[in-house]
Amino acid sequence: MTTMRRRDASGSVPTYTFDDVQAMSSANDEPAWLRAFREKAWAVYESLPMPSAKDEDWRRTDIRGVHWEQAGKLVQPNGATLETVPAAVRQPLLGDGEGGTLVFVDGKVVHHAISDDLTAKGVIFTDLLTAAKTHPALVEKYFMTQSVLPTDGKFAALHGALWTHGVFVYVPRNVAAELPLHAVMYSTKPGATLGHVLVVLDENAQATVQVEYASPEIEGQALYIGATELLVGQAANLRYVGLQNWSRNTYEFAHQRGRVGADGQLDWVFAVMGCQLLKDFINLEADGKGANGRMSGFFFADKDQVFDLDTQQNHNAPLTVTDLLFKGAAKDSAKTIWQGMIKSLPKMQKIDGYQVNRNLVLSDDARMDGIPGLEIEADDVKCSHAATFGTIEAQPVHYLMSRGVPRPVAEKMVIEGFFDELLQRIPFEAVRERLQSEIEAKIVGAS
Amino acid sequence: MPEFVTVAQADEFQPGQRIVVEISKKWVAVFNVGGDYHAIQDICSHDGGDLADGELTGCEIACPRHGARFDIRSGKVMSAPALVDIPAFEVRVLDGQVQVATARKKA
Repeated sequence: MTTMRRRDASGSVPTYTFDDVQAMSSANDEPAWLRAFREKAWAVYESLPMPSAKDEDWRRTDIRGVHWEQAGKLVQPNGATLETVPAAVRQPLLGDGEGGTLVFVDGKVVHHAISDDLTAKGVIFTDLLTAAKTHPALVEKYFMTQSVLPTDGKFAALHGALWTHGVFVYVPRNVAAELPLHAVMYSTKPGATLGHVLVVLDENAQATVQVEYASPEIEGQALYIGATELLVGQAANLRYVGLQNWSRNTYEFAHQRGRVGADGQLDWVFAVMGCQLLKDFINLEADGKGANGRMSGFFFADKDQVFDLDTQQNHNAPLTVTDLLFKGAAKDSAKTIWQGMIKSLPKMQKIDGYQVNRNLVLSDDARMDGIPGLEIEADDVKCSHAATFGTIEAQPVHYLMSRGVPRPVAEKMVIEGFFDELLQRIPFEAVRERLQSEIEAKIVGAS
Repeated sequence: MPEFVTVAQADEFQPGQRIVVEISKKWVAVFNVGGDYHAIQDICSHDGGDLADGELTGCEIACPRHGARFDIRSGKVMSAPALVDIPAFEVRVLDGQVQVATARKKA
């Protein structure tokens, strides 16, 4: 069905009020500190203007398509259960299980499990609201105070004021959570959810965490306003995988920030396949001497999807290493933007910063922007960046065809080969296979 | 036969006026230039900026960001920094209603 809307029509801006914030706190029976936090975040939200194409960070992404009167309405869970979530998304990450599972449907916890072994070691893996009541000191210390802040932007502030659900992971000092922790945020209805992920690894701790975001195709617009906070302590080691496959009617605005302490390590993988429009600010902060962060991102946009990824690698200490590789493809009339920055503060010598963005443009009407950047204020550093754009390479396709492979299959194999380097960075075979099939579906246009 | 959607009443859309409408997730700027209606995609092919607020000279609109110019009758790019044409859409007046085609004009 063809729809038409005038730009000046009402409903094109959020309609949240302070009463919504207070109602959220009351409905959740939140502790006083959390109520106060939401109210402060609301004040920040009200003080900031709505982003528009006139703002540098938003100039390439048109958010006028959000129908706030529908998409902005906070989703109320309606009794959906774990079985609502597709089996492929629910299945354990490893054949022999996982350390913990936490599944939300429409912002409500429908399944929660954690192994006795991890509980005995002091690992906390639960939903954020429960954690705010059972471990208030920890949550109050880390929740939106060190990583993503309400002042990071209009949507970060809105998130701070109105977040609806979240994941909390805490791994104590010297503890290794060997089996992975797996969280799923699944939405079944139009309207807004605001999900939060807070992962804290204390000194010399280790963990692997995967968070998935998905929804089925639904009538009406949905909105996800998210925040991800990864706090990797001194000599700690976090592998974090975030997979997004929202329905085509979903609009996502997100802030994500990982902080890595001295000699810590963060291996961070993103995959973006779904939604109508995504604007994601992704920051990596190498805070301590010897910190090492790797960011691996892949995205595949088709039809009229718009993905806008804004990354920043901040070297806040000497002898830090960051390494970013984002690979994307776009077909039909899709549009993707990757804008990256490596920043080094003065006196942060001997750093090694690297960023590469490779783009595969699969149709005449698709558009892909890649904008790397460096801002270096030290004089003994190694920093480099690159962005490349191209269509399917003719030579490997020709080679495969000369061996009897039909052209469509040959082209599919070349596209899969393009992404394979990144897929291999996902530590779970079943997840790799699932993503592979999603990529295939997009290539042949069956999505 | 392309599909058309009504965007305005003709008697309320006077010469010199312009409106911006969303048609199936695409933003389209519609102009009344001396009684003739024209419609283009409201996104500059150079930097993604909105075109509709740009200065219109005859049938050429200048992007407010960097000054790229486009012919609003055809979407053809007339001046750098844009290098690529933008989609243009057929407009008709039927029963007093201004209607825009949902599919772009063929080059």
